[in-house]
Amino acid sequence: MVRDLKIAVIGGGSTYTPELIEGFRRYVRELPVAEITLMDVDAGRLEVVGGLARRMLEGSGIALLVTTDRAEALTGADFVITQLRVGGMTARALDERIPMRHGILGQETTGPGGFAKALRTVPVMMEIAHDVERLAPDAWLINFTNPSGLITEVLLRYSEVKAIGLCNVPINMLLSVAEELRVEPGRVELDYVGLNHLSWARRVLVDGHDVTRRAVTTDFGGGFDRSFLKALGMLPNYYLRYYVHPDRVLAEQKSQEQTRAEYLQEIEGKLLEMYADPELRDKPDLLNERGGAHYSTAAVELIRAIALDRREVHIVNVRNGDSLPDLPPECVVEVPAVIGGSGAHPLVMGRLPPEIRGLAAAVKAYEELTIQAAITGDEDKAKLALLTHPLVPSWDVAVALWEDIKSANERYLPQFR
Amino acid sequence: MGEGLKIAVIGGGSTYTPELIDGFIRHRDRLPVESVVLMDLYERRLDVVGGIARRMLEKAGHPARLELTTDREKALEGADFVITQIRVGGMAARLADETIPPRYGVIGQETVGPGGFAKALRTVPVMLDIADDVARLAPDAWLLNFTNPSGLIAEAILRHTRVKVIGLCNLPINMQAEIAGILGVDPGEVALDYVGLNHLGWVRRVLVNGEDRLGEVMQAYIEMARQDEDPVFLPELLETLGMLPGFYLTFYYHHDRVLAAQRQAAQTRAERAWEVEKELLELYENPALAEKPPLLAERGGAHYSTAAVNLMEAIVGNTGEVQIVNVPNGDVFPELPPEAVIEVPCRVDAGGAHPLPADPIPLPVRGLIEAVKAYEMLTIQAAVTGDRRIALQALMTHPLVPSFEVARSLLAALLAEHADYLPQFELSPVASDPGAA
Repeated sequence: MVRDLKIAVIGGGSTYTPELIEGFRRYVRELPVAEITLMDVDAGRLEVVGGLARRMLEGSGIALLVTTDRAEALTGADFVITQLRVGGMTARALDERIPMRHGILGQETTGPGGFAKALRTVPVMMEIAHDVERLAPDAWLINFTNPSGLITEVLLRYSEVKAIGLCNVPINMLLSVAEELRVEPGRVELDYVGLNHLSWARRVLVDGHDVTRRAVTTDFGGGFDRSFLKALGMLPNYYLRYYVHPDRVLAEQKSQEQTRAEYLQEIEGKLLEMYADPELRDKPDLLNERGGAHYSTAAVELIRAIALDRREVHIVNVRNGDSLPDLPPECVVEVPAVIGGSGAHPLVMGRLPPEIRGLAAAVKAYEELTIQAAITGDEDKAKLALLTHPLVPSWDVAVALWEDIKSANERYLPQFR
Repeated sequence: MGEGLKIAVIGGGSTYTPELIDGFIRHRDRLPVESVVLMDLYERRLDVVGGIARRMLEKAGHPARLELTTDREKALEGADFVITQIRVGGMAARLADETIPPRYGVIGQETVGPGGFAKALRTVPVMLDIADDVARLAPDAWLLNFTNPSGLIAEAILRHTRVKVIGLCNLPINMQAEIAGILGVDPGEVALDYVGLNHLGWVRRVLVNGEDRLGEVMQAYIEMARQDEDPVFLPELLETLGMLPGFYLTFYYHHDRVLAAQRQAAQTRAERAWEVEKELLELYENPALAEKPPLLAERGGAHYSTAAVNLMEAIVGNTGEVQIVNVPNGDVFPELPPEAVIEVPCRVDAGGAHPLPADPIPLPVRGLIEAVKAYEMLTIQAAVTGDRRIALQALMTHPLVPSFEVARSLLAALLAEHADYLPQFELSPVASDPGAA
């Protein structure tokens, strides 16, 4: 086996990086990675995270490089992993706070918070995409940057880059269902449809047998009302809680002193302290609290499927094509796809049942308008995107949200100046 | 069709009926009506409304024979057109539809939101009964449905019977007339490029002699909204949207304002309509009255007869005229199922209403259309099967229902309120829901 793959990680100073590195270390015999370059705009963080990553990879045969120069990181890369956060945790905290002022739950990828994040992130991701086009035109871009599906759609609509969007929700769902049903994960198949952070397992199969009715009664996660799950008869991913029980979520958020972002900021501080310890050579347990469980498994197995042309089925974010006929062909959906050397080919999943179709279609329309707003800087499109979002109850609220979001994010929204 | 047309009006005791009769009179040259049968369950009302209908025809010298009956089969037998304009549960049920949702923080409206949902559950089984009778007794008849929610009812009939049905609403023709007035042209010269569902439609182009004058029309509406203290749509919304929404979109775009106004209003719309109806029936009883009274316009059915009569004329005369009606999507919009009923411009001829090819649904309205259509499909399923789980799914799916908890409480409250009219749910008496705010 020739060890020749080059991986570039944009946003490599993320506290998630040791999770990713651990994945490459775990798969070192199967996946011939020669070098991993961590790139970040924050040199201090890069040094700390890069230090731990280098210690983790010692003796593995994989070289670890760090740089603040994006062009250097991308040149000649075979896979580019993007995991950046424009505006950092401070901006995220605002994404979570601002909607609450208007009676809407605050969440970094869902609702008005996700909208603000998308507007900040799209211009930066487009810059990266243009660099990839120039410096690594054959590379696969594996996008973890949230909102992952929306960002992937931007890359596919507006660049030539070969992008696949990834999220750890599908793999987490599969693992937790397998655990609840007490079967090996390999025996479980999810008939999975939807968008990123807005998906459902229509059916759960074990060895090909439909066990959905049993699966919905298990404690597979998400905090849904039992009677809701019975009425739906499908497995919603846990982000659906923001749509199904928004009043509960908002009440919980209001009762908490800290937003999720503020809590994570504390954890990140502790993680970075631990990473700085020159004796540490493994990812610490605390990282699991950060929320990225199985992130590396999803990423490394996806890269392996492409690099080794394995033609396996993974649940990823891809151009819809004919997979979900209720949604436009050019949009990005999160569905099972055959992954091989030529990329991701979605399976034909068919019409969505009406009980989920309306929400999926409404959120996709919101995403498309958000993309147009983020690309063009057209304020009318921004307001219409918010108006279209199912969690925004009226025009008046949409306009008030827009004014708040615009002023809070001014420095990150050059397109609206 | 024989020499003249037989028209059966189911729900003929409606106070709207004189409007329809007026249409037959105005269009007598083009629409050869031989007999009109008004059928209603309520004999007393039928007598009163039938009385004025007869006097109107006589005064105008219209040759049509008028019959009144409480026997639906008799009314339908051999009909060429069946017009349905029923209200299951009457105004009392409508009042509940308008007052229950606001208790849960959702607007109360007879065709939109949970109110329209309850109305659909009551109405679908009755309309399917009627359609079965039509299939048996007048298999070649066209069923023109005015019964609300009009698009949903038309879809239920199309999905579950073989009756030739077209769903009709006076909203598009009212918009056409109003826009023509703004532009100072004859309504016949205005062609609206209209997209959406019944009570969920937008005008995206206004064609006059092939020229799109939407910009002018929008400016006029924006200016009117600026002058209005309490406009149906805020001028900024109209500017941003760049299309003209149909009236009922106010329940979505300005949900908070409408809800606040409803909570403050001394009278619901149902109560007002009820009063007007009582006054109308008193007027109709006057044996000297032989034309529709001006008060009828307040009831809300303006141009209703024009819409109905134009449609019949286009079918009978095989004219190919373009009218905005409710028909199955087919392959007009790929995002919507082929069987889904949409409200769009159609070419109408002896073969029925054929939707014109249309530009894609504009992005700012696509999500709402798809969400409401999914809700409608589930509501039809729930109404047909009486499956409470599907009913709950339908309410959960509705864009105006904010959460599962609210959907569950609303369903309990609506089913309890309307139990007498919902045999399909086999409801046992239930206590009213404690979750009401």
